[in-house]
Amino acid sequence: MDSVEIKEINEKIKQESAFIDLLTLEMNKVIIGQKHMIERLLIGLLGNGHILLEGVPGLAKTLAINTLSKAISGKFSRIQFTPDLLPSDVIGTTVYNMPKNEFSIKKGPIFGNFILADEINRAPAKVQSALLEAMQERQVTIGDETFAMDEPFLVLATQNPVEQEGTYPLPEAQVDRFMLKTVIDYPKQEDERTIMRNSLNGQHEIVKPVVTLEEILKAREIVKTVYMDEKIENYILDIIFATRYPERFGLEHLTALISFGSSPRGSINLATAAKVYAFIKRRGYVVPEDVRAVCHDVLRHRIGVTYEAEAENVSSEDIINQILNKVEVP
Amino acid sequence: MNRLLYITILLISTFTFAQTKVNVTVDTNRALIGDVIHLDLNVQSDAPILWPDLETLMAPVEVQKLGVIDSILTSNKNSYRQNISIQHFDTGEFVLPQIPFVSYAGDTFYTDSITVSFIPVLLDTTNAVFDIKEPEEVPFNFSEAKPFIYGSFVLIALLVLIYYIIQKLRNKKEFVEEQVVELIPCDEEAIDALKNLELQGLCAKGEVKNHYVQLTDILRSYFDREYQLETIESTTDEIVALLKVQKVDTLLLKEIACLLEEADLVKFAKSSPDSFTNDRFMRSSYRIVEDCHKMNEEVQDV
Repeated sequence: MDSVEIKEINEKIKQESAFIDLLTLEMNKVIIGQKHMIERLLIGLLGNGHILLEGVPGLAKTLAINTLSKAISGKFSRIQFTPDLLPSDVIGTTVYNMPKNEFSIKKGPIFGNFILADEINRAPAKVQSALLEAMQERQVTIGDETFAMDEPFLVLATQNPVEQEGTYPLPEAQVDRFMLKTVIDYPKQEDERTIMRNSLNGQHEIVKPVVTLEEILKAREIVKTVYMDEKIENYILDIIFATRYPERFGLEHLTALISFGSSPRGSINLATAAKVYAFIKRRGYVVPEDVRAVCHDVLRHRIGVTYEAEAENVSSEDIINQILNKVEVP
Repeated sequence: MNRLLYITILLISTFTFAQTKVNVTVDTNRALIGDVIHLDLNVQSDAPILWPDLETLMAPVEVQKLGVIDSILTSNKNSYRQNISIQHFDTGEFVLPQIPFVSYAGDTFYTDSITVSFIPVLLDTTNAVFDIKEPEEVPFNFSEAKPFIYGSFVLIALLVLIYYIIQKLRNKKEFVEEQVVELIPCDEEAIDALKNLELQGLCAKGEVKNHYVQLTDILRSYFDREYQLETIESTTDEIVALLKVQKVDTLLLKEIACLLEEADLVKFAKSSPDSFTNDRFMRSSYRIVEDCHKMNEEVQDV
């Protein structure tokens, strides 16, 4: 790939990424102040990954994905995870059709473009793994028939950081399947004033479809062509290896705080997310800023902290910060 | 005649049969409480005898010293002698019992019993009351003091060693600080490095990417030294933000941002600027270093 090709990619991206502004504007009609969450939703959507959202109730998680599906004219499903939920409630089952005297397949809510798995940690492991298998394999088998998932297929799972009683925390192997784990915070005071006023005035904006599913799929293909230099690849690998062997990067004190580092899925997703971020910023190449911008969301659920770290109140976020401050930027 | 014969036979028997004599003597029958009375035990016998357990026999009087049994053979007779010292810490009269000696033939021979008295020390109530004796001075013993002396030597040696190490570390630190002081000023170092880079003529050789990598490295190192920043681990946006905090002139900051962005394009997007642009950024780098240093000096003077 030479410089002329990159210029072409740049031009192409400038044309094809125009829908991002439209989509963001449409979403901002309803979602106020959660710019970071909207950006991460787009990264998941264009990076063909899934997102785990963590935040207290009432931060517009459901509204965000609902709005996104409306703005893209996709099919939206919501699954409220509860302790008595069964895998068949998620993926579907076979039901007996009496007039025809045969079993027919009833597809579950997972068959959609945008799936909201609300409070995923409230359902038992078998339900979680049914969903996560569908996320990974992008196909579901009901009875003896296998169905491919619709494209785009974006699962947005939510988790509540408070009230951990009676929950089934997602195992590390399953959390790893989420491309990003985004932590949502409360809106700013000004934003919350707008939310409050809109609600009191009964002002409900109608979201119109501004992007087609085909446009999203096309954008995904363009994202793949975003150029990533070897220096950026090395930078990503340095960050990932620093989570595994911190002592090699002069971070000996982190060795006792990290129980396990990021998996190879971490490096794949960090590279993909950085490319999508560059695309969103209308660039045909990745710069270190792109890697750093998505690093926390990609790695925070892939680094295991030890009991020592918990005792010292050191989170995976702190570890990522220290790694980013130590690994040399190309 | 018969009578004479009987007497002769009787006398012969006294000479021919075994004879054993036992007796005990004391040096005194009266001693002060706690004082010692010496007993002399003598046994004469022409046959072996069993010696009794004297300590048990003498109870409650204590046997302070039991001498060895001395044996002497004189004219086919065995003479045994033993000295015994007894004492008692109670006052009163005590009877030392008869001491039995059993011969091999099974006959038992007894000494006489002896009465001894232990009398209390008379108190002279007319005299004043005295203190108890002072503790006796123990003479200095080198072997007892040896571990303490050697321990002290080891402790002193350790303290000296620790002091020596601390001094050495301090000297090293001072030495490092001196080295820093002796370093050439950051602007001169950056200018020299830029001149060296220009001399290499990497752009002319087609190594444009390498040229911009080195150029940004020189500028980052310069910013680190000039403003005490950590730009090696920072991205272009972060470097610009850090310099903004340092109150670098807006126009100069724009120039720095422009240069770093162009360098990013070369490094990460395979951009290949023309020779005019390369030259412009090279001149711009000199200006950035000179102006930043000048401004920082002015700020520090203020």
